[in-house]
Amino acid sequence: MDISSIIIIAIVVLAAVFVVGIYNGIISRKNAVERAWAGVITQERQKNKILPDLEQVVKEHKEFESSILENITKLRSKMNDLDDKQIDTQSLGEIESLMQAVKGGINVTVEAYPDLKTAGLMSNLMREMTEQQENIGAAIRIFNQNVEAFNEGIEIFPNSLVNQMLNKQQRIDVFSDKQASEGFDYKPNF
Amino acid sequence: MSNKELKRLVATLERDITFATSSDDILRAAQKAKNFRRPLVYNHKQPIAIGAAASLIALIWIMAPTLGWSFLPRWDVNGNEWVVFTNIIFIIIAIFCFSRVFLDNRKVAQIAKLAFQKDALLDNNLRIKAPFNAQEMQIRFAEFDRGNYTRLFKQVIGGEYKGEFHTFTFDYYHFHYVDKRTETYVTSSNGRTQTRTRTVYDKFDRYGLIIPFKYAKSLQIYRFKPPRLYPQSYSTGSLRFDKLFTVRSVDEMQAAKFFKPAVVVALEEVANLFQHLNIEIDATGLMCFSFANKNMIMGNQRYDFTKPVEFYDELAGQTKLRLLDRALRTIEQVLRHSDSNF
Repeated sequence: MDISSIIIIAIVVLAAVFVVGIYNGIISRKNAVERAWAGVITQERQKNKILPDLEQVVKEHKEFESSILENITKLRSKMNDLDDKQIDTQSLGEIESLMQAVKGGINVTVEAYPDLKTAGLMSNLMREMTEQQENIGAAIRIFNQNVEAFNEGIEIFPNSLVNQMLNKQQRIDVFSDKQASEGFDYKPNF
Repeated sequence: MSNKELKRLVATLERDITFATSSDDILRAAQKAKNFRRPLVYNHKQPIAIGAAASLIALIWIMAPTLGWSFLPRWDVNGNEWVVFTNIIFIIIAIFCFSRVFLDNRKVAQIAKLAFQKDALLDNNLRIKAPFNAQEMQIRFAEFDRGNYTRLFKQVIGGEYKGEFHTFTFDYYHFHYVDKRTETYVTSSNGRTQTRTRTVYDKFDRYGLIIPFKYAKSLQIYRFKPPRLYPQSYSTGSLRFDKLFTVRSVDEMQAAKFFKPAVVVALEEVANLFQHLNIEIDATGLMCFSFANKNMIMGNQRYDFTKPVEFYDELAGQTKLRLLDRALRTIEQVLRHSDSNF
């Protein structure tokens, strides 16, 4: 075998290793996105731990508005729709909005009747709710970070070429908090 | 006012600040500096003049043979030992005068630094404690299993953190270790090349906090690889976190329980504030939060005794140790997400 054939074979082998590296990178980032989504759903399902207690407290204290109880019921049924295998940022957004409504309603009542806050179970519930919301926020942030890394991984050159030919992956939408963004007049034009 | 008076005041300040046990003691000492009514700077005109004259004479004498000046006795001619001896005397006088200027000023600056550091500790309810036993800590934490020659704790400072949700005690430490190694090097003289070996001592310093942490056990989160590792590796699912840190534990369940999303994000946020950040929880529930930043408990000193009024005001204010506060708030956040609310 002459030297030019060896060089050509070496270049082909190197290119193949490079393509396999990119291909595997895209797959592992996709898996990381799916795992992060499962993490979000796991955190959402943690709400099931506190919803029965929350329902009980709202029923026991007539100071709470009836709409809170209605929202808790809606929240329970909506949570059954969540699938940890299917990335569905819309359902997640609806659940988050309902949770914000429940939390907001409880906070308004607790501010009006401060004695409620000191009721044993209530203070623990409020603390747990805050921590759960922090964890959901953090899980969503991790999901969005992973989505960003995945999207970047399929869009930059030469990954875009490998993706078009082999992986054939589509961009994934990041989760955006509709309620929060509705408060802004400014909308980015991308 | 004379240098004598200043020297007396500096000695008083040194004694008062060394034995100060409260912020008021330090302020009383600083007040004495304020009452002096001028910056605590020595008048060094005389030693500077003598030192400059002695250096000039020595320099001229050394350069004379090269420049061809024959009006001075030659020091490079055999037998002129007294000329060499006189020249050495001039050099010693110059060194003595300049080091006096340097040492006097340094002493005043060191006393100011001591006052500021003591005040920072007192402002933050921190107290100096007896150093840890390095051998004991080496068994507890892989973090201290470093240094094949020496390992010791140079400083341990105890404190208490009162957060909104958790109150806990902590110990800040300064850990020093030395690695001994031999290296080969090549020398060449008179056209001969020789390979030799020499012993080299590499010195390192690590700093950190030790905190009781009963919600997790046997866990390592590191950016600066420790010498001993737990057997099980763990990935948090965050690409960013997994790029920043490596996680090892005795079993996956321990790690899974610890890494709530909020904990992952909290650690991602502080990863770049602390150099070579490592977090280790031992088998008995003690957390070691270690890093390479050396300025955690130093505060940001802006003035010294060269501006006594401003320095007094600085000491009278509350010194904030921002890095310490950030570390403790992060640890509280981790504790909050690890405990149970019911």
